[in-house]
Amino acid sequence: MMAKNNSPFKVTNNYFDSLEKEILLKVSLTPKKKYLFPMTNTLMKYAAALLLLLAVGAMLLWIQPSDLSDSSNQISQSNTIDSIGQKVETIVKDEPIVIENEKVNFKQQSLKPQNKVEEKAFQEIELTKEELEYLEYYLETDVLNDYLTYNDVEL
Amino acid sequence: MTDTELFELLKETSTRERGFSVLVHDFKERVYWQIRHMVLSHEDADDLVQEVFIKVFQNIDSFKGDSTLSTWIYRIALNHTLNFLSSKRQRYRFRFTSIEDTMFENLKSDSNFDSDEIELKLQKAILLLPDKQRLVFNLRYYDEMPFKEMEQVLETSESALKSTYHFAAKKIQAELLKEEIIKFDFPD
Repeated sequence: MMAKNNSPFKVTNNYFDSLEKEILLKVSLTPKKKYLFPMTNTLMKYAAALLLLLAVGAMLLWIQPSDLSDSSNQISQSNTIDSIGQKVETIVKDEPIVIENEKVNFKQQSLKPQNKVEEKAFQEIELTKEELEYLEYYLETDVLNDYLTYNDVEL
Repeated sequence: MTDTELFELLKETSTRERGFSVLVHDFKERVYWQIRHMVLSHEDADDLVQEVFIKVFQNIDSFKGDSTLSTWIYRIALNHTLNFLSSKRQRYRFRFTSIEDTMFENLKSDSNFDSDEIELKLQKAILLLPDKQRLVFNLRYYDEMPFKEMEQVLETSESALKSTYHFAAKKIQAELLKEEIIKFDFPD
């Protein structure tokens, strides 16, 4: 059997009969598409759009608080650093007074006649003004270092 | 049985099976040839025609009767065929041979093809056309489909279809001239 207009294509004689049977058999085994009601597709589209909007909204809500908490963390961190800085400043400012007081005590103690050996020893370690300043400098840095070390401050 | 009578049978659930048997009986040949002229291989055409009728059966409720039943079925068949060719072309993208060369080589050895030299050269020339141009040419030349009907099936204006067909015929004529086949008349 050939197609129209002297087509060079051909099929076997009973091909179309067997094709028809084959199609009807396959169709009988194929489940038909179910259409619930005409509005279903439209409703599904609206539902999908609504879900998408809700998802976007939820995502935005989820992102914003975390951003705020991040910024508040940063603010609190900077506040902490400021406060540490202030504390350190006060320590550094206050410390010379303490040192001064200790120096006075030290000098007073050294002037007390306790026993000769001690007196001799104190006399031997009597420091000049420059040496004291030098020690003060180290004392100050030690206090600062101790503060920073034991308070776990990250600079 | 007219299209309207057949449509009435398909609408009613009780008469649908009988209606579908009539539909397959009436349209199978024409659908087969339309597909066969595009894919060339009998095996591919056989698979595709079955898939088309299953698709028609599954979507029969979505047919509202805006066009004739035949137009609707041919449209499904041709779209299905174009999709098949396009997916086959995708698979051939990274091969050394083109899909057209493979189709032509398979055609040469096909026992379901009356291969005389001129027909083979004609098929080779037709294969050089783009799919949609080839479709218009085949529908007019082999299936003798009127441009008015083609307009409904392909949803393209009649004038555009006519110019597509004439342009395709001209291209084929030029290819055949290269092969020293001097005269080959195509109907208008």
